[in-house]
Amino acid sequence: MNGSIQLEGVVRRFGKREVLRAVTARAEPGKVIGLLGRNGEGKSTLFKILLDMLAADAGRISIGGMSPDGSGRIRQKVGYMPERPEFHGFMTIEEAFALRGRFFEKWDRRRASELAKRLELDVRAPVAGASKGMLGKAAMICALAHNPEILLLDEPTSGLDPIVRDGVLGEIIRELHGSGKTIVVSNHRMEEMGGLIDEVWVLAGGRIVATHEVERLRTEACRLVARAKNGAYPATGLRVVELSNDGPLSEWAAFDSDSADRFSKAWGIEAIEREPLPLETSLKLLLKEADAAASEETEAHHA
Amino acid sequence: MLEIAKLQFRKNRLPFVGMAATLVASVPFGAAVALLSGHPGRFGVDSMLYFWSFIGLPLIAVLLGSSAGAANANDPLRSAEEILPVSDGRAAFASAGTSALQALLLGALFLGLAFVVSAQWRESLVLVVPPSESWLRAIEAPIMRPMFWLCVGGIPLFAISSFAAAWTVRNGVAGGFLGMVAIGAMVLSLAAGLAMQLFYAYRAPFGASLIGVLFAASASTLWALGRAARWLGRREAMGWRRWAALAAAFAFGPACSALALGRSWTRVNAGISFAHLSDSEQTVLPSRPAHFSLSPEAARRVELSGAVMRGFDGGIVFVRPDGSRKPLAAAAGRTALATVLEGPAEMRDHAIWDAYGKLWISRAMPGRDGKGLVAELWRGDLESGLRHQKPLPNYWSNQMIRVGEAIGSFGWTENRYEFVRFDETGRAVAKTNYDYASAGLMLDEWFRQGYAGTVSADRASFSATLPDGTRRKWRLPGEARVDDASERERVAVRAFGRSFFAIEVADAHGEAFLALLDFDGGVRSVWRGERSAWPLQEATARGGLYSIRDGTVFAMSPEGDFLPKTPIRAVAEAVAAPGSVRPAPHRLLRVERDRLWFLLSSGRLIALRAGDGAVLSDAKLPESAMFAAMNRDYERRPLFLEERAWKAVESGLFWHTGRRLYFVEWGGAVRDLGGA
Repeated sequence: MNGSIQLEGVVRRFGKREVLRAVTARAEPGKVIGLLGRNGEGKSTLFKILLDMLAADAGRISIGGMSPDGSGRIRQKVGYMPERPEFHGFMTIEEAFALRGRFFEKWDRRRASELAKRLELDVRAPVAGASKGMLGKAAMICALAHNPEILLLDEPTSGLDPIVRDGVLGEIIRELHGSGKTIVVSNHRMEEMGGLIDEVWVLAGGRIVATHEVERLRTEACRLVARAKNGAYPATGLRVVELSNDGPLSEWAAFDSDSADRFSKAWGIEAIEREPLPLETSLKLLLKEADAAASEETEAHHA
Repeated sequence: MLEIAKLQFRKNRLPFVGMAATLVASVPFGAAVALLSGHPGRFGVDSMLYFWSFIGLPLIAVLLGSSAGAANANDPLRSAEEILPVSDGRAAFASAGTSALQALLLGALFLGLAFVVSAQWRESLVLVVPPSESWLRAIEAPIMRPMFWLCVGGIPLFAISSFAAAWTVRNGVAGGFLGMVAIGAMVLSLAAGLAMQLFYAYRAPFGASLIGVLFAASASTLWALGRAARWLGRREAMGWRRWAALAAAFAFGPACSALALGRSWTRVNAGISFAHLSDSEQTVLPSRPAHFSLSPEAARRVELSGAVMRGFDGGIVFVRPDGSRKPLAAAAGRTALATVLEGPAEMRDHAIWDAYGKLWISRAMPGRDGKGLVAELWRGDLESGLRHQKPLPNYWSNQMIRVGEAIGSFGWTENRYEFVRFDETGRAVAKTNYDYASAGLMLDEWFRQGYAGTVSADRASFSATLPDGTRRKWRLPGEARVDDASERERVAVRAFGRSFFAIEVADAHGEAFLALLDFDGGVRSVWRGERSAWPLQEATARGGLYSIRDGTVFAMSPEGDFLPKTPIRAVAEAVAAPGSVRPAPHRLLRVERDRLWFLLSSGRLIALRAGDGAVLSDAKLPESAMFAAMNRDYERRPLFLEERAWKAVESGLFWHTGRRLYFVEWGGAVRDLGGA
């Protein structure tokens, strides 16, 4: 099983707007990658490029040992759950499964039934009248039922009520344990996935501006309360994010110990307090890091 | 792809069923509307069927294709299907093909329904029926049938092209419009080309072009669909070159059809024809008083030795009965593209041989600057070929004519006719205007050349200046019966024959007969009675004269011998085409002392014995597609006997079928001279 994903200098433009700018990343087989980024940063675009639904304007891509070539063969190996699942409105959910069964070589009808039962999904329901939750479950089943080597999940819990979300998440968790699949999941609430993912890719300004091993986040991310002697704080080069600035003191988050140490020892800084940051909080704060990185990118671009 | 096709079938199910139901329901609906408005129900039914035949079927195909194309290219269907492990190209081809198949199924439904329901429809568009007496039906068939069968045959292209266009622009209405326009233009062009083939089957072959265009259009449309699916499906960077390639691919089929039509037009307008004047007289003048056939021997000799022909490329060539060809002028005329862009321009050539064996041709051909037709004078001979001499006034009726030994151009200008006589170099030496064509022209020239004379006031004698300048007078054996239409104060009698004049006289009892006045002074009286047969108007190639009155031929050989009157009606009826309700039209080609040769509209060459009209020989000429079309669909008209389709010479008849040239000896033996 070859579940690796490699991206090298991938570029994608829509008109004059460069959505992905030289995206480079690598996911080893069996890894679970969390893809973090603001709306419109290109997460779905990246997924579609990996799925051979969109062509990259430049760069090299390898997924499951295959390169996208327009044939669609890649999709035999990849399970995809889109942010907004679509099915043919004139079908029932069961018929939609049957349709997929005719195209995906490894489609497992029994597995699909089992998943439907587990997720309490009525497959006889027509697609046209199905709720968002039902469609979400159906999309999950479609992503899993053909036993793909790689899973791409684009906001799998987006728009779902808590009960359905828990059900979907639970299924994801079950899928992860011991499966050896490579999974890339984009989720605004990465904290929901905290215990599951191995690595986080932060996508900002069209690039992957940071990658964090979750285990390292868990052990090294910390909160700093600092005071600047002359009112100035270091801006670039450190993986720190300002949390608040209240008078003489400011609050920062650092995502690794090296950044925390360098920040503490930076000129004019007096670190008063340092305490570990919970993983959930770290994951929440990664978006801020993404914003900061994006701003730097923009300034550098204009300069 | 089969699964995609099944999926597409299901997606199109509702419009497909709806269209089928509409198609079927339209028949009783049409009948009901007709009845309610006081007409027979079958009128409404036929109207609906003709609507579907020419508009509805293509529209069905366009709607099925464009709606499927747009739906497949846009959400939500695109999102629902793009996850499937199938390339965009395969998905597009399968879906487009399914739309085309559904359209074909509806077409088949319609054909079955129409065939059963309406006799009018099936006879007008489908069945091969016996020649019709209806002139309108005869005209309709070559136009309607090609249009109909092209509409039916074009259903897949309508559907696929509309699918491809709608897929590309992501819009069903725009895509359908583009598809309808592109393929509709192509169908119209092809139908026009086919109709032209049927109307002018002897000079506008179109079958290969039709197949080629359909193949090119199909290939280019499919290529465009495949490229569009590949490039746009994955939203690759397009650039102007790719958009231009797609547009060119969509336009390729219609462009090819236009060029093919232009090529046919070009061929029609160049047209293979015998670029000559018939026989040895002026032609195409409004009246034909040429009841003498006086031609210089040199002209007659070369003219009867072969045929001057213009080929499809506009070049002029001289063909001999043994098939040898001598090129005289290079190809001319328009390219297909020029014909499409600037419109058809008919080429017309008139060729005659002068008294010195020189060939003169007035050519009306597309101007070198592309502006309309220009007339040019070309002159030459068999050894050196033709050379452009000078431009001529661009008369529509301008043509070269030979009047005895005079050569000139004759045409209509400024509300009168004008004859311009040339010298041997083509320089205009005299210009004469006439209010009426031919009569005054003939008299002036015949008098000038010594081939006409005047009757005395008492009508008892005739005086003339012979060609050698000798002045002679004859005493007539009766009272001259002169042409009351003459403008001369003293009426001149038209002369004919090589060494004699002929003048109609009446004896004391009022009986008419012909007096032949030899140049040496002798007088012969011939041919008593048969007043109605005079004057002999026509002339054969060798100079024989004849007229046909009430199914009887009155003829004189070139040597001046009168043949016994010969009945031909029974013969013409006996050799008429099968199913004909009238005698076949006919044309006398050759007169000898005891026999007459006729060309019949049924494509036969028969020889009759003078007097009793017994058939001495009956030869079937090689089949001509145009002849077949005329006999099948047209009331018989002697159009095909126009002299551009054949030429009689000394030893036989040149005959062309539009694609091949033949020589038919007077005894009936046929020789294939090769491609036309």
